[in-house]
Amino acid sequence: MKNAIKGRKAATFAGIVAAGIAFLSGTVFAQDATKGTVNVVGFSGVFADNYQKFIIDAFKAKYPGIEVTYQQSKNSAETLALLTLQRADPKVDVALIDVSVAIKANKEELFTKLDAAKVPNLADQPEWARIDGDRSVAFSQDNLAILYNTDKVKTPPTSWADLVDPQYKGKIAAKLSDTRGVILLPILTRLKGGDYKNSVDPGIEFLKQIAPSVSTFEPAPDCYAVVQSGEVDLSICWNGRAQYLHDTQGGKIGVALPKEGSIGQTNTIGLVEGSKNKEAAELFVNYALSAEAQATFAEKSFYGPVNTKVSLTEPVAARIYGTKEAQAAQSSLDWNFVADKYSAWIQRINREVIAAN
Amino acid sequence: MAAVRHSSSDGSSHRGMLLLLLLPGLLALLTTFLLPLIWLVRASFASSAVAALKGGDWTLESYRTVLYDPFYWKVAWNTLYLGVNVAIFAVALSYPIALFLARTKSRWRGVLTALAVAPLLTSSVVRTYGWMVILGDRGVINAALQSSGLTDGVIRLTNNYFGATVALVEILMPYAILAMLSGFGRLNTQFEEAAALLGANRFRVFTRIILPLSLPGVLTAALLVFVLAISSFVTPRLMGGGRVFVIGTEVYNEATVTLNWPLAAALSVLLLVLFGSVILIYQRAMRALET
Repeated sequence: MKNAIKGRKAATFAGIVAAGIAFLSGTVFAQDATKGTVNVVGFSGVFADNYQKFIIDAFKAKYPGIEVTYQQSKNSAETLALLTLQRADPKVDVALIDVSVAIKANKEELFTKLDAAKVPNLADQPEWARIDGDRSVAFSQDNLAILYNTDKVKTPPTSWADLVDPQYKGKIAAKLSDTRGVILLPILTRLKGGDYKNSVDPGIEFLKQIAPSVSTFEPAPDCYAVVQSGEVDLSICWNGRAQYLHDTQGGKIGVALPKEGSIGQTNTIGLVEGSKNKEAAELFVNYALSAEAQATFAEKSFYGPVNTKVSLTEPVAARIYGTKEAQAAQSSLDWNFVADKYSAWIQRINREVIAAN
Repeated sequence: MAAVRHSSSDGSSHRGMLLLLLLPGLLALLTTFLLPLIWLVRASFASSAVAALKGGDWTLESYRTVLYDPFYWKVAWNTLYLGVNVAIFAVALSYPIALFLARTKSRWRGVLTALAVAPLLTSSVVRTYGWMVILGDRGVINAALQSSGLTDGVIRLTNNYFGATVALVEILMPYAILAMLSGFGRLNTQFEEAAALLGANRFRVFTRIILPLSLPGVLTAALLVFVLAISSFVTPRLMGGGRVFVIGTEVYNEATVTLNWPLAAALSVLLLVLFGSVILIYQRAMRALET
C-alpha cells in the first residue's frame, strides 16, 4: 500500500518533470528563429501571385518551420492606414510598400531600423536603396514604359519624345496625377537637359506638349485594358504588368522602353516596429533582399532587381530596361527628395497640365 | 381627477414606449452616421495623415489651404455648376415621364412606373461603363456620325465635362421621376376639367394649373438630383477622363494619392456645408410655395 502510494507519487513527479521539460523546450523552440510566423502585407494582383510563388514559397522551402502569411492591400495608402492603426499592437510583421509612402511611415517610426548583423544581405544593396537608415529598403523597381497596341502601332515608339508625335493625337491614355507623373517629371526634365533637383519646369513644359494628345488622364478600368481594347494607341504605364499581359494575352500589348532610359516605381520592404515575430521576420527580409530572390523575381515578373550582386541575362534585362542604350541610361531617384516634392509635383501636374486641357 | 391622472400617466408611458422603439434606430444612426461624421470633422483639424487617425494636435491648416487656394474655389464652383446642370436636365427630361405616370389611367401604370425606375437595379458604375461605350471615340454615336458622313474625325463626347454631365443626367433620372411622382399629390384632374370648362386652352391649363401644382414635386426632385450629383464620384471620375475636377474626385485624390487625409476631410466638410446651404434654400423655397 505504502509502496503503491510511493509509486504514484513518483509517477506524478515524473509527470511534472516531463511536462516541465516539454514546456521549457517549447519555449526554447519558440525563441529559435527557425520557427514562427511572418505576417506580410503587400501589393495585390499579379504581384501578390508572383511574390507568393517565387519569394514566399522559396523561403518556406528553406525555412520549413516558418509560416508566412500574405495579406493583399489595395494600395500603399491602405497599408499606411493599417500600420498606423495597429501601431500599439501590430498584427503585421513585414510590409511591402511604395517608397514615397514608406518615407511617410518612417517619419512616424512605423518601421524599425534593420540590423545589418541580422540582415547581412543589406551589405549588397546600393546606397540609394537603404532609406532612412535602413528602416525601408528598396527591393524591386517597376519601370515606367510606353505601352502600345500592336495591331495599330506598327513602328513602336523608341523615345519619350514620340509622345508628342501628331499621329498619336487623341490616342494616348496617361494617368499623370500619381506616381506615374512624379516619375515622368524627372525623366522628361533630364531629356530637356535639366536636373529635377533644381527644377522640374522643363518636365512640366514637356507634359504640356503631350497633354493635347491625351485622350484620357483617367484610363478606365486601367492603363493596360485601354491599350488592349484598342481604345487608345499608347498608354504610359508600368512595365512588369504589361510584360505579363503581353505574354498571357496574345501579345496585343507591346512594351516600348524608351532609349533615354526609365525610372522605376520603387517598392520597399520594412520590418514593422514592435513586430512580435522579429527574428523570423528578419530572416524573411534578409531572404527577400538576397540576390537569389531578386534574380528570380526579376526573371518571372520583370521587376528590376536592386541587389547589386544580381546579374541578369540579356533577354531578361532587355525586357526590364530596354535596349543596351536604355539600360545604360536607366536611373534612380533620391527618394527622400522626391517624397518631399510628391504632393507639390502632383499639384502642378493637375493644375498646369491637366486642368488646362 | 382620477381619470385625468390616468390618461396623463398613460400618455407618458406612451411616450416612453415611443422612445424605447426609437432607441435601436437612434443608436444605429449614432454609430453609423454621427460618429464617423464627428471623426471626419476631427480629422479635418489634424496636422498630418497619421494625426488624423490617432488624434493629437488641432490646426486650421487644411481649411486655410482650401479657403486661400483659388484652385479649390474653382473646384467648388465646378461642383456646383455640374450639380445645377445635371439637376436642370434630369428634371426637365423626367418631368413629362413623371407627369404621364401620375395622370395615366392605364392598367399598365404600375408596370410602366416600375420600368421607369428599373435602371436603379443596375449599379451606377455599370451604367457609367455603358455610357463610356456609347460616347467613346470608337463608340456608337461617333461610329454613326462618321458612317453617315456627318463628321470626319472623332468628336470628343466623353473624357470631358460633357460626358460626365450626360451620364449623370441619365443615371439620376429615376430618382427625379420617383421624387416627382410622390410630390404630385396635389395634382387633381378635376381642377383641369374646371379650368377647361371655363374656357382655358390646354397651354393655359398647363401653365396655370398643372405646373404650379406640380412645383413642390419638381423642387424636391431638383434638390435630390442636385445633392446626388455634387456628391458623385465614380461617374465624374470615369466619364471625365481626369479633366473634371469636382469635390468628390479631389477628396479621393487627397485621400489615396497624396495621402493628405486632413485636407480630404476638410474638403468633405466643405461639401457638407454646400449641402446644408442648398437644403436651407430649398426649405425657404418650399415654404414660399406653400403660403
